Amino acid sequence: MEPDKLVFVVDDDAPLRESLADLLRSIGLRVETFPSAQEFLQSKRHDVPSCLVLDVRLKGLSGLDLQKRLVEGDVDIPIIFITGHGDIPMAVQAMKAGAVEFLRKPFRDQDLLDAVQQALERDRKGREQRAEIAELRKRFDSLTPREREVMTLVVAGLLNKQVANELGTSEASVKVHRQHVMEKIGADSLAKLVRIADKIGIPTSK
Amino acid sequence: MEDTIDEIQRLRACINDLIGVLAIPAVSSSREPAQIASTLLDALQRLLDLDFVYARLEDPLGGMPIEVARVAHYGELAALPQAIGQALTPWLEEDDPKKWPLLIQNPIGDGDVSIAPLRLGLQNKIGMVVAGAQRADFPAETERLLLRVAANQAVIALQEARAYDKLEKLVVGHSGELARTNDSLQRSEAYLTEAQRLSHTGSWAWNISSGEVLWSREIYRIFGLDPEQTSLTFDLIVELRHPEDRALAERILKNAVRERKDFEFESRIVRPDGSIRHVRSVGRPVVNVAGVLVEFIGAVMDITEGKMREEALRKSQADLAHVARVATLGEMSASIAHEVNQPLTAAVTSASACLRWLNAQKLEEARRSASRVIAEGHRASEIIGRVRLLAKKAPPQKDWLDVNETIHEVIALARSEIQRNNITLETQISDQVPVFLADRVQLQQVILNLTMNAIEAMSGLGSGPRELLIRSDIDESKHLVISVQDSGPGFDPESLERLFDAFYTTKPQGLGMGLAISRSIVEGHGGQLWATANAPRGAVFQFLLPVGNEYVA
Repeated sequence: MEPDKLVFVVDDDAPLRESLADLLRSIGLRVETFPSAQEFLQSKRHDVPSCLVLDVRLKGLSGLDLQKRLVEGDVDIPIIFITGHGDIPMAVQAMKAGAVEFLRKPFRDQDLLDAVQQALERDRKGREQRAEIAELRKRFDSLTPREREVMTLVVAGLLNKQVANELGTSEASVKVHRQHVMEKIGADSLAKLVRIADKIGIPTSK
Repeated sequence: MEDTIDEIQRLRACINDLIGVLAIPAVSSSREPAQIASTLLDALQRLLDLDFVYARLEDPLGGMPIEVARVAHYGELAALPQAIGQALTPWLEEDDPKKWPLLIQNPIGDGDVSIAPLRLGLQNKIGMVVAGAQRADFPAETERLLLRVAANQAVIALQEARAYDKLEKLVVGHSGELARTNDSLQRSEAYLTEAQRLSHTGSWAWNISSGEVLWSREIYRIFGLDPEQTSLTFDLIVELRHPEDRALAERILKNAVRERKDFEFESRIVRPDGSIRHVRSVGRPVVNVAGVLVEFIGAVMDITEGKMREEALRKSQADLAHVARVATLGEMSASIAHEVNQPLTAAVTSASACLRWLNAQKLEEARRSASRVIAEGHRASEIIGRVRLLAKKAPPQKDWLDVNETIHEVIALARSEIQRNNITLETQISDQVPVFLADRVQLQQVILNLTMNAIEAMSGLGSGPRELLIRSDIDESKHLVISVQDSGPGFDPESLERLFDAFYTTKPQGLGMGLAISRSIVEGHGGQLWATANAPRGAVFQFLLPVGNEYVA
């Protein structure tokens, strides 16, 4: 068991749903199953690396509809679609909307397992990144307005003197602000500060 | 002495008269009235001393009377009887002789003659006899007597002759009639034989008490038997049937005799050469005035050709139905593939899981996965089995059938098609529906056809609910009612009548045979199929099947 990972299976065909869960459990994954998209949407999901194995064709809300709802709701979860038909337009639509994989039934077990592992890894990484950015955002938010202005101009590639000019202050004052920024953000070099700025979406000179 | 001589002479005369009278019966030796009259007149002429004697016989049929005359001396008259008749004309119409004159002018000579008229016949006048003599003493008493005796004899002879004549005519008439009847009888018998041969229908009679059976030639021909070498009995008649039909024939015949009722049934017979013919037998009892059942009469009709045509028609209908089924399955192929793919995917996935559990020594989990592999394998093969059953070209065959099961089988095949088109399916299945005799494949075809039509009708809908409702029910008159209802665009009322026509279709790929075939299948089961509009939109196709009787049986 990998308790820190979770695979959701949504399929309205009960035997197929159970056999998918069975296969995933046989390699030690934790699995939760749902017979419909609605039930999946209503469920409370744990905040652990996870992915979704989703049948394209479902009673009621279809697999593609569910994907759309998740994107709209800003729920970032990797999706592996399974389908009974090699419906290419449908596959393109799904992949464009960010699906990890589009598997045609019947598929090789290893293909599904690889796709699931890949998706879980992607979700794990994504979660890490999101956590890191959230931390960096928090640090940026802790800066004073003047410090934010200094940081924005420094990462844009301006020298201290230019920054002072821009803000109508002294170069010495800019140096002090810059020192505080480096400490609060946790960057020991200009290069690192630029990377962090990049991550939180501040335009840089790159 | 003179007296004695007179007496002797009178006696002699009497004897002569008696001899003459005795001769008169000779008149009756003939059957010809003219001959009788001539004989009579000859006898009178011989017996009496007459100048003339005339007889006139009326024709009972109203034709010319017969006139005969005898005279003592021939004169110059060419047509003697007519001349005398002419002279007597004023009185001949007079029936009463007493009103006649005693003297008339001699029709054949000079002077007057005494006449003695005699009426022949009492009620019906046969004719008149008139004797005439110039003697003054004519007619004497003995002469009157002789004349009357002679006239009576003649009347008897004439009446006999007439009666004989009548009889003869009657006989001739009857013979003619008989011959004519015989002719037409022979003709109608020939017609009948011909009609029997042309219509392959023979007639029979069966005497119940004696057991004697009579067959027309055509029945022998139908049965392929030689009339000369067949002795018909009830047992033989049963024996001639096909072994599978003997019990039926025996039961129906015995029942008809027991209840004195008409019967009608169809059976197969086996000819001596082994060939099989289909015959329809009908019969009705004949009961006499005393209410006793005397015999059964009836007919046997050879319906083999009709049966064969029926069979050929049934076969081509079955072929057509098969083609339509295969076409429907073709339209559904994507859905069917999906239906098979689902369990196959589940089986393969479970098998993979099983191997992994085994590698991990997790036997309990491995066993569970293996069970799922088996179950899913069965699921796939059931679906393939259903498709194969529908695709198979099987002769129509009736079995005891639970129509609810048939509905579920159809839904299993069409489910994927229903889902693919985002249709909501609702079923209202009655648990009152009895099992009944029907052709499973054919009924599946009807329900599948109606279901596929409904799906197709809704597949093009831009908006609005897509609802499919399949119902089974039993009505008060023990009819099974199956209905398939959709919320599609419906049909326009003008095309309602054409919906069930062969080759009528609104689909680009349609054969236009589905509804026509469905209707003929339903009607083949003694039911009806029709369409109505669904409110507020869509169509309802429903069919009704009589199941009550079979259920009781």
